Amino acid sequence: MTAAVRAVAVCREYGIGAAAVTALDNVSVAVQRGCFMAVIGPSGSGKSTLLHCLAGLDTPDSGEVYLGETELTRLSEQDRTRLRRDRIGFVFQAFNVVPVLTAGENILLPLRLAGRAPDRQWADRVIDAVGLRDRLRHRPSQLSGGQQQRVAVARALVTRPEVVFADEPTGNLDSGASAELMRFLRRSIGELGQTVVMVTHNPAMAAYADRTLVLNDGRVVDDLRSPTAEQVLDRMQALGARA
Amino acid sequence: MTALTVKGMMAHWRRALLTGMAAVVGVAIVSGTLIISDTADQLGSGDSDLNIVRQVMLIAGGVTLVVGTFIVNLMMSVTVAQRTRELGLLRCIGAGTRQIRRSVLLESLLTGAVNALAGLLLGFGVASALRALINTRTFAGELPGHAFILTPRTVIAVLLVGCVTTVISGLGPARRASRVAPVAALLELPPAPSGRRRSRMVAGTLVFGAGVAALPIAVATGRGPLILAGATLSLAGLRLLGPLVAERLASVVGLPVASALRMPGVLGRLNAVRNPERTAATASALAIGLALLVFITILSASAKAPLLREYARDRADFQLWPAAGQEAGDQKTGPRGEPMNPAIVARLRALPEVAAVVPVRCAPGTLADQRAVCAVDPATIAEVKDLELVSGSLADLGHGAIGVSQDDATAAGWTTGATVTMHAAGGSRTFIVKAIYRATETFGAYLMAPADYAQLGAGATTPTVYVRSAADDPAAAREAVARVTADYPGVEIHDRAEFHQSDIKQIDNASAVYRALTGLAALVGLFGIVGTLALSIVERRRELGLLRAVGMQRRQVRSMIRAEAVIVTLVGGALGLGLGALFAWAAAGVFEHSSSPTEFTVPVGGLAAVAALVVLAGVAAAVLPAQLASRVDVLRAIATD
Repeated sequence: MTAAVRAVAVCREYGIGAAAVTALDNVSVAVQRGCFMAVIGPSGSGKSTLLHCLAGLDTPDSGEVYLGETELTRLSEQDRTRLRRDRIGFVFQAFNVVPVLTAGENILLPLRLAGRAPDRQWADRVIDAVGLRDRLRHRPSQLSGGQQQRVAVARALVTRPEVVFADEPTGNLDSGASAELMRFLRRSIGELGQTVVMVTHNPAMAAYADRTLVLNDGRVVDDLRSPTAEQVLDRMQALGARA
Repeated sequence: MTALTVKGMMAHWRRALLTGMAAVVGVAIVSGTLIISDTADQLGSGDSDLNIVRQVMLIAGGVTLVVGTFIVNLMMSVTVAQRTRELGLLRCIGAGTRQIRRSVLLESLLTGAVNALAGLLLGFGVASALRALINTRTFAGELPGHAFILTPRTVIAVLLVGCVTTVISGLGPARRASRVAPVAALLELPPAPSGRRRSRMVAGTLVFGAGVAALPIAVATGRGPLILAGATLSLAGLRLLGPLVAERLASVVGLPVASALRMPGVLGRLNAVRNPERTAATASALAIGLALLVFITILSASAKAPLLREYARDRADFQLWPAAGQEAGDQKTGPRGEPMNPAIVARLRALPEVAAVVPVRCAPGTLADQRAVCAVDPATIAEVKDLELVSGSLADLGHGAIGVSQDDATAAGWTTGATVTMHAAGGSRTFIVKAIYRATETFGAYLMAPADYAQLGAGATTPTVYVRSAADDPAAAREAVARVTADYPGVEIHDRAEFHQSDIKQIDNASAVYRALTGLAALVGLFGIVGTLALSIVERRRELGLLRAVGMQRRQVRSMIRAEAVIVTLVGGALGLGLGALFAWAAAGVFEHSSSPTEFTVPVGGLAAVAALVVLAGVAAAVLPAQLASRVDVLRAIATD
């Protein structure tokens, strides 16, 4: 089985000279299709940079990133924009929705930008999976933070992307709403067979994943399969003790 | 605090520049006007014709300043709203409300001072551009090509005007800035909704209604100043009603834009209505300048219309005047110079190149009510002049009959068959009205048969001879006529076009200068759109980042911003066109019966050109903001602090 997304020896540095910070130091990882992978680590560990590089938002200094068979690092900005639109889905921590569009319009936005007609059956399945059927005509200002994030999840899934990238999707939510969002995300992935890469700093969120990558100082320090929250927490604490 | 303000402005110099740009143009026009007048006065060439130019320039400068003030106010309000967190932080660490207010006022004062200086310098540019324009398009005297004179009065006046207007536009934003609570630094507070919406709507409707209602009253009573009051009130009312009107109008004019540009257009339309307050302020600033431009365009067409119509009624290709020696006159002012040899008429009639030769003999105001009486041959007069008979017939203009103009007939209550008594040197005689015709500028007289005219005792005057060429070949006819007149020294040939064209040229020239001036006011409105849009891009950075992340192409981002700019411009354009046309209608109505009569005429071509320019300008206004928006760095935009 080929990997949905794959990084090979990716390095990324910010700043120059004495002020240079190594965000990613020779990271290689492959995410299988249908896998829900969490990336966890303390702040400054490079987890967001890894996500940005995998998603084609940022370009590594060296190394390669493949989405399926496409090497992202070789694409022009315009091609990467098209790839983001057609083959990748995003969920950010905040500001996930365009305030002037309704929930329904936000969900269909990537398709409208591409000028493609939505696949109604698929869109209905996605909307039902995130439980937004009765909120489609609402404006973002009429939705709770959790509902807004569910809109973002639906928007990310509606194009049937090869990978959905989620950057701290529960970062602005309280624990109740966080758990609810993760259940929706988990269910959508299960029902729709999607691949998800999620960055978080919360071990409880990582516990929803099939696989958890632990990053520290720009390097992969652990790769856990179906861990529990306690296992993830232990690893994190071990990192803290070592530092 | 002062140092902090200055440093803040230096750090955000682009923003300060953008804010000031709008105010500079108005200051420059005022400065240019003062420079031109001072220079003209100093050289003793303070032509009285120049006074009207000076007045129009000052009005245009004043309006441009008002528009500029609107825009500076708007941009400072947006800036203060964007700085809410920063202001909250300042309050947290101990800045008082007064310090904040003073800081914002100081910022506006500094902006004003820089604007005033820039405007003063630009004034020289405005002055020389205007001088060139006035001198190439003569209608109000010539301005000497002397070096411009800058008097201390101009410097002081321009500095004052520049600073005072900007400080005034900073008052509101300063007050709002001082009201920012310290907690605003810690919380993501939504901007406070503007209250008093209802009372504002009521006041706006009343003021706008009163302004618009004043216009027909002005027409009915013929009072010009009422138009000015009406225009001012309706513009002020529009400013109050703005948000409501702008929101509705923007969503309507946005529909075709949205359907043409698909998703980017849809988003552009929604963005144009998301902040009705801001859209309204931007659009109405453009509307004011545009209304003036449209007003001038329509009014000059309306002043030309009666002249053009008379031109069309004139069927004679030339007029022969007896020897000169006097100012060019017409039937109203009577005889000119030497008598014309009657033989000339017979010789002209013999020419094959000529279709009609009609002598018209007129006597000035010694008759009747000081109005001219003309002797015409009823059989041939229609060959050279379309008299547009209202009733009766020219054929009946025999012995004892008189033709009167419609204006005279209405004033005296005459209809065909009425009797009219004429008093003249030869005594009083009674005539029966047999024809009523529409007066023209050169034909407002009583008409009668030559025999009756002679009996009245006014026969000694010289005729003007109207000549119409045969076979539509005026050039050949003119040559033939010139060969005849060569034998009669002093007789002048005047082409038909000459009389009308010189008047029309004057109107065209004046209109070109005034349109250039009012066009500047409209241009300032465009600066407002550029500035507001650029600021809103800063505000929507995260949103733009999100759109880019989910796959919006740079091209689509630019197209979205362009759609927004075009929609706002169209709203301003529609308002400006509508109001300008309304004001022009009222002014044309008031001047309809003045010495230079107007007739409300909508110059479709001219207005279409203005409309096309508005759309193009909207696209041009979007260039800079669209660049800014498409360059938003996705990673930085979506980063959570």
